[in-house]
Amino acid sequence: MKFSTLLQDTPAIDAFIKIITATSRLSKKKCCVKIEKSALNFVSCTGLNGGAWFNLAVPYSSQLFRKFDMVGMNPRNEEQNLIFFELEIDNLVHILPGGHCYLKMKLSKNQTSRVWKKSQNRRVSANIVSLNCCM
Amino acid sequence: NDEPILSVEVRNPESDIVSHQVPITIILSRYWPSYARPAIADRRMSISMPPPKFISRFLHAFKNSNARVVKFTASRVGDLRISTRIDNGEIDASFADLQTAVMDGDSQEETASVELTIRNISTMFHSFAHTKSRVKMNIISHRMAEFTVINEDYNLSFIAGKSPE
Repeated sequence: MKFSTLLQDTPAIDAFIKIITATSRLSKKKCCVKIEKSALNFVSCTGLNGGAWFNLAVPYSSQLFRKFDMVGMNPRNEEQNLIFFELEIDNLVHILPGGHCYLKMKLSKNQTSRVWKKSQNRRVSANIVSLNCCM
Repeated sequence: NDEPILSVEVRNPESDIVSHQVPITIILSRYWPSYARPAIADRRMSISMPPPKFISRFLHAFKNSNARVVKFTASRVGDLRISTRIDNGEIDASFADLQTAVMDGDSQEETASVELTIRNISTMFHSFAHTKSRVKMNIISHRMAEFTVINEDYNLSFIAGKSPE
């Protein structure tokens, strides 16, 4: 399944950042994100064993989201139409200081598998100079 | 390099789009039940709490008095008492005329109480102190409490088990 969401005005993005920041305080470093057709949920990773359990749901109907797309759902098995993942929520807080007018989040694969060309040159009178180029 | 990531693109009014990649770990469906809401007994007492910033201040004051456990006692007529024991005695705050909601199957007790670890709940009240929405508390006597906040942007359900102390 694929998921992407778009927020496109500063008050909505600031409200969303407040929610993320509050989630970060409730979480003990890691947080579970549960995406369902109608909401984005931030869920405790520790359960009651960690002292307290929480679920903070941001419904699609909240008007914060301009777009909220979940693709690839199985209509025959509604209960399985969920995406669960864990992340270090502080990583998200740190890149969202506020004041943004555009925020897009999308689940994807790491795109760092680029091809590099490496060349080394040396003049008789100089050390080896390395040059790495991204293709 | 097929690791899943959360790709986050942001733009300020005076800058271009900046893209970030946040590493994530996909959770397989067989582990989903471990994230499910803890089971809560049906017999509960529900009361609408004073504004969260008030509760946050009380909890902060309790913590500064070296208290570690807070006791919530709610009555069916809308009274709520928040108390804690400290070295030299006891501190308590009482509120009256709070809204209660009795549903089928709810507790028939006149009062319900639960002791919670301050550290477990103070972060929640501090984090949501800015909200104008009321926090509703469901007490399952001597076992746990559930705090809920429902407003136009989000719904929070926060469950704390009774203090082991």
